Amino acid sequence: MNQKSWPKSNSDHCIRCATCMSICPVSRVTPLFPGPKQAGPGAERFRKAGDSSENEWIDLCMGCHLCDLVCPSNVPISELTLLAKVTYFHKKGRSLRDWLLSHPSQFGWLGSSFPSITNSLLNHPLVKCMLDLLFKIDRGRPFPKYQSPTFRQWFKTHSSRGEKKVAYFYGCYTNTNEVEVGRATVKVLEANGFEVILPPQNCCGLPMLGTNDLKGARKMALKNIPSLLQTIRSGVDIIFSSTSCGHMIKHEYSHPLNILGAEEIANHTFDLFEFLRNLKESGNLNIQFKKLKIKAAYFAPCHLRSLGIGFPALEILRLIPGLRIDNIEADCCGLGGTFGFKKEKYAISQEIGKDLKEAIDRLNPEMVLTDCEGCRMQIRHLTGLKVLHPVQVLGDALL
Amino acid sequence: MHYDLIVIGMGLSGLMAAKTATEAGRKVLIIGKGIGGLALFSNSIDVLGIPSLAGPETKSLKDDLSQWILDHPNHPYGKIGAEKIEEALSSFNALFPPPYTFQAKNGSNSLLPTGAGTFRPTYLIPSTMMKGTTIKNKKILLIGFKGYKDFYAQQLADSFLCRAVTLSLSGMSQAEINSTTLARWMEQPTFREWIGTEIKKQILNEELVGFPAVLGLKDPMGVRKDLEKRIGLPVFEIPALPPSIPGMRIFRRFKERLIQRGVTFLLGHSVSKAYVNRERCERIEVLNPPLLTSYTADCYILASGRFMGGGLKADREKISESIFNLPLSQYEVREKWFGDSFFDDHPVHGVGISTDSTFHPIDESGRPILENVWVAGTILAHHHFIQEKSREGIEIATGYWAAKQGIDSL
Repeated sequence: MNQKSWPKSNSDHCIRCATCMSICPVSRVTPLFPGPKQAGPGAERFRKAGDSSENEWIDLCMGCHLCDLVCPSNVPISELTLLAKVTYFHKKGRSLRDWLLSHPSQFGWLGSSFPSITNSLLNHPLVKCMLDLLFKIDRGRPFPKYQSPTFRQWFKTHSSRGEKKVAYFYGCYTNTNEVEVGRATVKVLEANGFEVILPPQNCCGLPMLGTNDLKGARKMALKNIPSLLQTIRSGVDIIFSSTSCGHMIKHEYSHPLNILGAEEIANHTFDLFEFLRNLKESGNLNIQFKKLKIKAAYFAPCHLRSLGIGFPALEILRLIPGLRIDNIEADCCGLGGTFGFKKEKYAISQEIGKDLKEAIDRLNPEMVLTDCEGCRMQIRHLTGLKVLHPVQVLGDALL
Repeated sequence: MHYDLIVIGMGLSGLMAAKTATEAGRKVLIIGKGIGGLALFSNSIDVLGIPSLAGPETKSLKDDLSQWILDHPNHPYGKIGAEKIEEALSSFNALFPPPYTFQAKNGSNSLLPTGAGTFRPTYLIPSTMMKGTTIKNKKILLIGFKGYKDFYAQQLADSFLCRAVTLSLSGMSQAEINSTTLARWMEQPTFREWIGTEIKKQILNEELVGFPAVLGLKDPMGVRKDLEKRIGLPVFEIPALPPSIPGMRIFRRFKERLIQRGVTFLLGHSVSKAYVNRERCERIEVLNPPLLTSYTADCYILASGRFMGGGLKADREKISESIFNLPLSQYEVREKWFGDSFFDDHPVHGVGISTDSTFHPIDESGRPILENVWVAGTILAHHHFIQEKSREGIEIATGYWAAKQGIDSL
C-alpha cells in the first residue's frame, strides 16, 4: 500500500473475520449495538451512496477507532460508520442538545468569566435535573469545572523564553477547565530550551464529529488551518497536549474532512510526549529530575492508540526516579467525549468504564495519569482518584 | 526512531519474537495490523496433529515429532528440531503461570471437542478446556445461549451423543450476542448465579457440563470455579466461532508483558514499504494516513502471516509477498493452486518464503537474500498447518528461534 492509495471506503475488503468484534467496547457491553462489523462494512452493503442508515443504533458507535486498529483488511470501519451516522442525522435533524454539547467553545468564555456561579449552577441537582429532562444530558454526569483566568489569559502575563520556538495547540478544555495542564506543558517545554508561542486557534472541531455534524467540524477545521499552516511554514513545529485534539488535527482533518493543507500540518504536529521522546532519541531531553515517590497508573486513551506512536508518556515517565508507573490493562474509558453525556448513552458509557475501574482497582494507585481530558473526567467520575495529565507529573519532577 | 529489533506482525509468531527479544534486554518495536489468528481460531496450542499422533494410544509427541522432522526436512520444524521446539513452547508457557496454564495430557496429543461437533488433535490445552478430553467417557450436558449464534449446543449434542440445553437470556430475545459480550457477562457474579441456578435445574444424570469458550477474559479459572460451585459439577469450555475468547486471553497476556517491558507496541498500523540497500533492510515506513513514519532497526523479523492478514497477496495470476517482495517457494500456476474438493490439502497452502536454517530468506540457489531480516510464522513455506494441525507450534517455535537468531547477530 502506498501513500496514494490509503484505505478507501470500500466495504468489500471486509472478510467478516469479526476481529473488530473482539475489541469494540460498545458491542461488548450492549447487544443493542451489533458491532463495528455490521455498523460499518456490513450495513454499507445495503446503503447506496447518499442513502442514510436505517437504524438509530448506528449512533451507538463511540468513534473510538479501536476497530480500525485490529482490522487485518484495512477497512476504515469507523469512518464508514461515521459517514453513515452523518447521513442519518442529516436527514433526521440534530437536536439542540447536540448543538450544546458540541459547541463548548461558544460558552466556555462565559463559564470562565463567572466561574463560581457557573460551576455551582452546572452541578446543582435542580439544574442537572432540568438539563436531563429538557435536553437529555444525563444528570449522572458531572460537568467539568470552569476556571479563571483562562490559559490564554495566564499566558498573556507569562513571558516565554528559549533558543528555539515551538507552537502549542492547547485545546478548549485546557483553556477553560484545566489551565494547570497548559502551564505544566509550557514549563516542560521551556525547561527543554523552547520558547512557547500560541498560534491563533479555535476548537479543533472534534465535538462536532461526536454529534455527527461533519459540516460543523469542517467549519472549525477551516478556521484553524490558515494559522496552523502559517506557523509550520515559518519553521515552527506544533505540539498538542490533548491526544483528542491532536488526533483530530493530524488525521481527521485529512480523513474524512479532506482539508487542503492538512497533510502538510500533520507532518509538523506532534504529541507532546512524542516530541519529548524525539528529543530523548537525539540526546536533547532535559532529564534532570528529582525523586518523586509516587505510585501511579497510566491509561492510554483511544485517540493515542490511533495516533500510532505507542505510549510515549509511559516511556518518558519511566525516567523519573522513584516513580512507580504501571500501565492499566483496559481498552476504553467509555466517555467517548460527548457520548457519555447523552442520557440515552450514559449507562453504556458507565458499563464500559466498569472494566477500566476494575483494572485500576487491581493496581491500587495513588493517582491515575492519562493524556486525554475526556478520560480524565471519566476516571475521576469512576474512581474518585486524583487524575492528572502526565505532563503535570513531569513538570513536578523537573529540578 | 531506532530499535535493536523490529517485529513486523502481531500474530502469535510476532508476539513470541518480541517477547524473546525484550526478555534478552533488547529495545523492541512490534507493529501489526490486527492480531492474527488469535482472534479467530480455537487457540489451544497445536504442534503436530497428524492422524498417527492423534490416536487414543498415548505416544509421546516429542519422539514422533523427531521422526516426522526427519521425514520432512524442509518443514519449518526441520530448521529447529524437537528439543528446541520444546524450549520455545516452554517460553510460551512461562507467560501462563497457574491457575490458567497450557498443558499436554500425558506428554502427547489429545482429542478436543470442537464447536463444529467434531474432534481435533491438539497438544497444549488451556486448563479450562482440559476436561473436554474426557468427553467420550462421560455423560455431558452442553450449554447454549439463545441469541448466541456462534455455538449451537443442540447440534453438538447430536454429534457427541449427549444432551444440551439452550438458555434464554431474559430481555434479550431479539438481540444477537457475540462471544465478547457473553464473556463479559460471565465475569459478573450475578449472571453466573442466574445461569448456575438454571443449569442446576436441568441436570439429570450428567457428570460434566460443557460451555462455549466464553468463561471470561481476565480470570477464566475464577469464573469456572464459581460456575462449578453453583452447578455442582465440573465445567469445561469448547472453542466456538470468532471472536475467540481463548485467543484474546493469549493476546492480552503478551500485550501486558511487552508493554510492561517497554516494547513500543503499535497495534493498528501496517508497514507500507521497506527500504532495502545491498542485502540490508535500512528502514521501514508505516502509513497512518496522512503520515508516513520511518523506523529503523539493526534487525527485522518478518512475521506478517499469510493471505488473511495480507502478508501474502494473491491476484488472479500471481502470489507475492507484500513488504520485501521476497521470492516464494512452491509456487505454481494458478490452475494448480487448489484441489478439487473444499477439504483437500490445497497446494497453495504450502506457498511461502523459503529460508535457510537460520531463518534468513533465501533465493532459488539457497543464498540468503537479506542479511538483517529473519522470517517467522505461517508465512514460511513448506508447511500445511491446516492438515498438519501445526499452526501454533510453527508460530511459537519459529517466532522464538528467528528472534534468537536476530539477537545473536547484534
